[in-house]
Amino acid sequence: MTTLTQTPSTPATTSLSEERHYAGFWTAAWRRFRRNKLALFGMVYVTLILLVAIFAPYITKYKVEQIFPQDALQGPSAAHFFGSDYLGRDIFTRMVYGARPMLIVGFFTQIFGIIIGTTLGIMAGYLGGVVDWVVTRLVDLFSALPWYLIVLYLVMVLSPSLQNIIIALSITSWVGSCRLVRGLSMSIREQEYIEAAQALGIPGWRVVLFHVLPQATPLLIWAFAAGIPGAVFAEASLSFLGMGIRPPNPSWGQMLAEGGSYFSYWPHMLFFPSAFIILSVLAFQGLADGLRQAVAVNVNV
Amino acid sequence: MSEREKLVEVRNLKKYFPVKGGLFQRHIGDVKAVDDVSLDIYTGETLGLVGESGCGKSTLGRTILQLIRPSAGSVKFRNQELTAVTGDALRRSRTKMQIIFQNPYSSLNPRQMIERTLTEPMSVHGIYRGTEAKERAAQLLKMVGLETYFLGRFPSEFSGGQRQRIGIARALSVNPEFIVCDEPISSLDVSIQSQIVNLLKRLQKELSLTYLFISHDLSMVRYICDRIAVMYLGKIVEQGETDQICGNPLHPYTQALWSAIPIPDPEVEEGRERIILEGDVPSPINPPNGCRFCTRCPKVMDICRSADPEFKEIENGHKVACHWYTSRP
Amino acid sequence: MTPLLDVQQVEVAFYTKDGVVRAVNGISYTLEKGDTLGIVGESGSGKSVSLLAMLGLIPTPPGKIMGGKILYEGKDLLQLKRDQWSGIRGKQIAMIFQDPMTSLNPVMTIGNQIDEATIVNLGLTSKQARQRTVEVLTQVGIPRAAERCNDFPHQFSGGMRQRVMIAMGISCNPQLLIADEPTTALDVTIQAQIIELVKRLQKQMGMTVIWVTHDLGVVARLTKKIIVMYGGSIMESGPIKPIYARPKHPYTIGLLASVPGATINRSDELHYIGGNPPDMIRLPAGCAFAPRCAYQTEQCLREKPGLIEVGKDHTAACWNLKTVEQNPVLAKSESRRAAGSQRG
Repeated sequence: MTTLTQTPSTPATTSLSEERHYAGFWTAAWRRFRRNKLALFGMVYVTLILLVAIFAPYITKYKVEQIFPQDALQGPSAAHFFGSDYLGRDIFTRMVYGARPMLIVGFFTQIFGIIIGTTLGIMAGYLGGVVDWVVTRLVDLFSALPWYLIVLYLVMVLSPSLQNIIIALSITSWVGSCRLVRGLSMSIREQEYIEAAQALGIPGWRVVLFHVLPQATPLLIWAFAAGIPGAVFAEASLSFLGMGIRPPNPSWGQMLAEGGSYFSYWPHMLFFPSAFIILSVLAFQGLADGLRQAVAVNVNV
Repeated sequence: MSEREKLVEVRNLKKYFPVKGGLFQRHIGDVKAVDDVSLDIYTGETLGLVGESGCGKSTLGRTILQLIRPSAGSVKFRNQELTAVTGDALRRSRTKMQIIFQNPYSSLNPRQMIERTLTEPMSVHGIYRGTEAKERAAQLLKMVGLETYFLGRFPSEFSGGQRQRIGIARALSVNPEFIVCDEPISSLDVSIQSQIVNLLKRLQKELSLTYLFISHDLSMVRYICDRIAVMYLGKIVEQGETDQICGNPLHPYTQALWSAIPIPDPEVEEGRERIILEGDVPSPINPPNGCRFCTRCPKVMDICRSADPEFKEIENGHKVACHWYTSRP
Repeated sequence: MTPLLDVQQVEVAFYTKDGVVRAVNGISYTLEKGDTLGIVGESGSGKSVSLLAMLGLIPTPPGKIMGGKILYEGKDLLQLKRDQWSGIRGKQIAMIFQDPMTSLNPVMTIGNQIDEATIVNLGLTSKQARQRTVEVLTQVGIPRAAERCNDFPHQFSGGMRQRVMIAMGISCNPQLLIADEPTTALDVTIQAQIIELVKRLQKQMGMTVIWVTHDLGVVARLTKKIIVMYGGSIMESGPIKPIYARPKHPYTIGLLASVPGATINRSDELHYIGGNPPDMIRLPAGCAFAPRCAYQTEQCLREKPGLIEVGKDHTAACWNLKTVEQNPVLAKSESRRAAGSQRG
């Protein structure tokens, strides 16, 4: 009878320490992110604006509602970096404090949107069937509605205030992340490791929480950043229309509206709010774009 | 053979996947992936399940494990009817039966460290917890021939063969008695295949495991399996001891299958007579009438096109579903 | 007589962000007109890359041809400019791939796709081209060829799609057909059909065929000469019978012994090659197979062995051929073969 024994002293498994070390997922993502200059600018800008908003009282020496009647409608100077408005308020101070509602609205609408969207999306994608049908119809419904009108209407009904803007914007902000997560969960559900988890008798909720959700996190981070410019813009335009942050609390959109009426003689009142709205939207978009590139490829070649 | 203990008993198992189509997604037919299959798996043996892609062999394996619930029929594991078990009871019963997958790249969660992959099932079923679970995970890695420090790594750091070993360790983490090996070597390199096969054989001996070995690689099946079942279009067409199936294949399909495998020896290949089957495997939505193999069978007779052949024992333990042996005058 | 194909010291590398992947490291072989060559190797052995280079299909960057010559009828293919390829690719050398679905255009009927090849390469009119298309489709065994010209790739089964690919490949009467694992994705009964088809076509058309595969059995059925590749280098090459009967290189020996033969006892352990496939970025300085080789010596790790003549047209790249010769595994592979031939 033929016997095939192994060849003498075959080195069984080469130790991994000699082998190529793969970069971890987040290390590789950071490497890709770094290559995108706009994304880097976005990150720096967002960090700065965040710090400015948090430490506003330490950044400017004036109070936000402080009026200097003798200084009304002055251009930029050493005393007033961005000049002053028609009541003699310091525009720099109002800009600094105005960053707060913008960021609060941006972050909270996205957080609520992602919580709602992820829950619905995972349920739809992972469970499928009737749940999927209902969620898909909801998504269709909300993406077909003129969301801006709904938001306007809601703010009118609920009275304009910071939390009402957040509520109104959150009602529609979940649609994007829901669609994203649903598609992703559907493809993850087909992966063999999900089947393996089922075969090992791991409870459904654990599978969703520990096997499906972690795969969605990179995408969610991107969706979070990508949704913020929209929210920033929405807040600014609502305030512009007088449906957002009410005076005397400052908001960039509101300041833009005020600046509009003084534009021909005192352009600085229009310039600073509009420049920073544009810059912020651009920065968040750049950041989101960089994040998308960073997390899009999740395999090491 | 009859005195051996039956571990798994499959009777008249069917799995039909509905096909929807038309304007209103109406039910327009069924994919008969598994169509009336009966087989027994005895404790400690390796039963080979061979057939071409789309013949339903993977579906059969998953239906036995209740990963896919059957449309009809029964599956008994140690005389317990599995098709009736649901919910938490089914989840708990999973520790007895496991599966090893074909693709070592998609069968491991890319974002989960190896340690977690191995300890999660243990803690879920309360087998081991905490440091005990970690020790057990390290022990499992050693058992499958890997280093214990691999515990702190992610799947992307491993080669296909190493991943397959991790997949095997994961299946072993719940101390199963029965493992369905779903083409565990077909996506590996030739030089790695024999490593994994040796490992599976060693583990079977050490842990007294029972395998259902699904494969299309007949030369490996011949080496690993004690008995072989040949599947074609959702049905088992021949079943018997490995020596019976390899030495004396009865069904024309089995004969063609054997003759189609290229043998790595030019001298043998030169003098070999080959049965080249015509055409493709028919669609499992509209399988041919009568014997399902009649459209490609070189020995087809009139009766094959009208009547479904009976699955009959021809010699001791060797069963075949073919009119050639039952209906010939 | 100059050979049809003369490959000399070809080297191909890919520059990736993780490092330089040395896919092909100085391979040389010649091929006479009408020959069938089998190139055997596992994933990452460089077997496919070496052939892509032959058709100028290496994506540059990241790929780069580091050196060597591929002489086709005396003309160096590696020196060709972009516009010089048209007379060669498709017309002289045709290639068929593993996955016909990705190499066929899904939104174009297969008739039009094959027509296009002959219109571009042979300058046929569209009417002549269609005639030729039906002719080759019939030749590769597609029933009702004229009707099926109007079908799209997804309307064909896997085996039929591969036949369509072969039809497209032979439509311009190429001299050399390169088949890159064309049956790997197919079932064994369909694989047998395709192998018979290629053998028949080769005989009819007098084509030269290079068949790339990881399956030692397919090569045994099909070719007369083989090259065994590992880690981007040729380990052993020569006529098929002596290599299968008395393999000289430890890798070939291990590979052949890993396949369970007809008479292997089920209680025996299967022979295996330990370790893992090579990391093409960190290839060893010496022999690529050295880290997994049972006969490894210090010289193997340090110096790359050249191909040494071990028989008629039979070469192997190994420093320790003598030691290997005395190894018991050899005797076993002999007896395995003897036992196998009784069965056939």
